[in-house]
Amino acid sequence: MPKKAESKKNIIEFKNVSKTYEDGTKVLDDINLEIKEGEFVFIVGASGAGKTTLMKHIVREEVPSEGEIIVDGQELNKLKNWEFPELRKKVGFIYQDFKLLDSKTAFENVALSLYVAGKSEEEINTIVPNLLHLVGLADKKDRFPKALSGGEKQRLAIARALAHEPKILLADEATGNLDNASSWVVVDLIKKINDWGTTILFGTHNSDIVNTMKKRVVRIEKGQIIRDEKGAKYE
Amino acid sequence: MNNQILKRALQNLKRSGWRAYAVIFMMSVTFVILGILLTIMYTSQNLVNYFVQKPEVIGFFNDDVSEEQILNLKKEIETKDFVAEVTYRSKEEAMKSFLEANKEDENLVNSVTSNPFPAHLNVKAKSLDQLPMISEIFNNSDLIYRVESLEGVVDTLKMIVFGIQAVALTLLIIFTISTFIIIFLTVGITIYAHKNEIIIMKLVGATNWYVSAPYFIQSSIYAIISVMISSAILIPILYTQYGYLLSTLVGGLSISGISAQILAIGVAIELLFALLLAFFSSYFATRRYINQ
Repeated sequence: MPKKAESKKNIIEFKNVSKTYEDGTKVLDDINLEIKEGEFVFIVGASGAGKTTLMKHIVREEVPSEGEIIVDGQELNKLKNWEFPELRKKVGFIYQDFKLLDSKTAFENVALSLYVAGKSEEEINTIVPNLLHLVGLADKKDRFPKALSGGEKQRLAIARALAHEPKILLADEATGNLDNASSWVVVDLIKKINDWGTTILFGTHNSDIVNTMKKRVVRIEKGQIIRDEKGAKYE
Repeated sequence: MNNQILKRALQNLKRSGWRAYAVIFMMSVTFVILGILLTIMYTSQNLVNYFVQKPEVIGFFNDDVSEEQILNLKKEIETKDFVAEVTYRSKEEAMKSFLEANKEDENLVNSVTSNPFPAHLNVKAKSLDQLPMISEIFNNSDLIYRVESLEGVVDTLKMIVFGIQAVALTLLIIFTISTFIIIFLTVGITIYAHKNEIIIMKLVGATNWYVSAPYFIQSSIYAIISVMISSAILIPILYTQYGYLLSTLVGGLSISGISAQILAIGVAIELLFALLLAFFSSYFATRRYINQ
């Protein structure tokens, strides 16, 4: 674990978290995990290992069957329904399938996050171009997602996730649908965001990225953490 | 209100297509029925009030009874506690009153050669339940050959009014439930069509209210348009034809018509009902499809 991170407080804590679906399938099994502010953590494992489920718990898309999750000092079990939107503004989420709205332009997709936060048109017209510039899509603001490449779509999704200036960015197989070159553009962008202080949880099974970045690696198999090590190799 | 919410509500309306027409049609029919029900309730209540306020018994005298005998009976009746007023009308006055009322029907007036109208006492009771006591006085008198009373008429009238209201209310309930289901499904289908958008909005931190509000606005707009349509159908009919209908059904009774103020109250009741219906059906639809 990096030295600068050790002095920082935990921003995510999983305490004995398990998740069992109604049909008896156990997808998380006694997970204990602490992530410090500003850390960059890879969550690795094969498909179906539990990476996505673990990340969904952080934004309360999934509710644990047992255990406790604390995000930025808030115990999620104690949150009321009306408090979830505030939690989700602290946590940006990017997905393998981008989850962009095809009927909206690049500008409108990013603006959506700001509209739901109640920002004024004036603020939106200032913030969105900056975010699009940051992800290298300033000249494609009027394009619809269908007219963007896979890498551009993912960068657009990152711009949208950053609109609330989240403390945590969850990337679930964010490079899963991208070619090698585009994947590295996205990874470099996420690394840059981490350098500015945002905590990153990067779920992937791309060993090249994990091994090159030399960050903390948490390996999950069958819902259990089987390894948690800084700079570990993933094969 | 957030402009985006309004914009999304109008977009939903535009994209609802035939479903919007179906909802507006059903709601309009419901509110026409509600309007008719309110009119029936208003009229029947007026009718019942009219008879309740006129508790009277008429005793018709034999032709050989002298005026002195009639006035003696009048005096006797006036002493009773339950009697509010006694009016005497002689044969001549009865004839005069008939001729006056039918002066435009020359044939009828010319056909009356001798005076067939009996002298009579018109006795008003203080309340409806005291009518039998007055009838009893007349029935026990040899001077009277016929007694006319509203006794029983009001009860019958109340039963008829109750029956009409029950039928109208049943129809209203059926149409209200149908409208509720149609709004529920229409809003549900619109929500389903925007499923991805809703999931993404919630992921980026939208509150349930931000996501649901356009659907509440959408159904409120249906409600307002429907009330406007049903009012455009009912108000001209009621305003021009109500008096005619009333005189045809209960001609001769001075029952008040429908004023602009009463119509305005009726429209306000319909609008309130429409908005409540829109609110509850959208509430259940959004709770079912969004807030779960």
